[in-house]
Amino acid sequence: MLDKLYITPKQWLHILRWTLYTLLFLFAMMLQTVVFGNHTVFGVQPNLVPVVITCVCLREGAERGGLFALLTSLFWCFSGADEGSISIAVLTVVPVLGSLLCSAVLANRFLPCLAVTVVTLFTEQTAIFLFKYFFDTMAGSRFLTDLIPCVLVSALAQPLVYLLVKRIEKIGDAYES
Amino acid sequence: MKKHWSGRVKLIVVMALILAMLTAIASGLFGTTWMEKAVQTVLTPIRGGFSSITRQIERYYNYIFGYEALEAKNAYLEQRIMEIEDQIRSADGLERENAYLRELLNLSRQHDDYHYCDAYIVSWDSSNWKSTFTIGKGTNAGLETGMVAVTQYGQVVGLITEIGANWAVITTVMDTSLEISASLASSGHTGVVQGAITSGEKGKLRMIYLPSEAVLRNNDQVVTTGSTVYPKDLIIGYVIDAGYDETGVAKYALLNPAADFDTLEQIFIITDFVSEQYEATESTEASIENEG
Repeated sequence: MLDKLYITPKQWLHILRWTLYTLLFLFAMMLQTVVFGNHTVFGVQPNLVPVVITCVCLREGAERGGLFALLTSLFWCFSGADEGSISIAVLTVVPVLGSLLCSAVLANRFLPCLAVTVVTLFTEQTAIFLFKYFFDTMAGSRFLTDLIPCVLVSALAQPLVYLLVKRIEKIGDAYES
Repeated sequence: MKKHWSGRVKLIVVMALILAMLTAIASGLFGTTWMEKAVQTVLTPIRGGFSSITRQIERYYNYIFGYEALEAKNAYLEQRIMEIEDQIRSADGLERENAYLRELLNLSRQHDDYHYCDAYIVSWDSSNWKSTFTIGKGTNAGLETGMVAVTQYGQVVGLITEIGANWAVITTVMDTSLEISASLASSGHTGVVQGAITSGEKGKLRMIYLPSEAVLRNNDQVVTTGSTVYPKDLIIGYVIDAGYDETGVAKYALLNPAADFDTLEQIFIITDFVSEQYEATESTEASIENEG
């Protein structure tokens, strides 16, 4: 009975790895809502949460990464994100499909990850934009003046996030081999 | 790709789509759900801590680069300007009242009936498509939805639209979902002010339904007309442009919001005030009773 409660060193490292991913997500969320919420970068507010979710999902694979994407996007929705329901669908489905595509066709490296991140950011922002355009009074011109710059500025954070995720992913590698 | 498309992955994708639909339906039916309230309640202290750390870092940064003295001077001058503008606005309002209403009504001109609750902003909505922020106080501090948030100078910031035990979401005047009945302080012409965040004029307000005879000048002050939600004579913004709307019958004005949202840290919630509409109703009822 007690044997089952024993946590092996390998399991400890797994717990540490996923804790660090969660902390990275929370840190990105805090940066996005507290620091950049009232400050703009090149006139737009960067969108860091999708970057973290996509990078983790791509490095960890569609199954484990997909579950992380689902849980974090759900949390992001409940934390008061703008049109959070759209975020749940987009921030889970797009990174999962991207991860499948990278595993099957492309290499799971930096450039494919950057491309999938841009696609995720663009899809999420476009979905929210279209929702506001058809159900609110959103001006169509803001697609060019805000949406595209937002995607580009947010993508600037991807190399750093990718590097951090890659480092975290290596935790427990010794036991894997 | 087919070998990676396992049952678990399919389940995750289906779950995401179902949860997205469920949260959208729940949000539409019930507004703020209990899950949102729980997550916000947990996040608010974390955001508060992060926010105070950010403020400290900003303060040290400003101190190091010697801007603090300039900031203090700037704040003092801003306060002086606001005081002088407030005096001018009061004079304009009093003049009109003397001319048209003094003999008819006996309304209170002072608003010492306001009760305030101060709060710090802990996070902003990070979307480019709406304008809301979260404060670190909620129902525990006596706040309720529909209460008005102002700056220390009496400039309208927004309205509480969602609330929890230790947090409240303020939708700012810049958001298109808020509509405030307002008037031009100089001429008294009334209209409706709404945010222009989703239109082309980001960071501006629009005053619509102004009568065609309304005379608009640059820097004319726009104030609240007073209602059960908004107290009278709170400053909303300043006219920067004007024109006729699509119908060609009514005028509209483009306004700069009075509150400086870029530097906003602390706000004041008006928790209680005596509504003039309520007072007018009461006095009418009293006079009817007296006549009876």
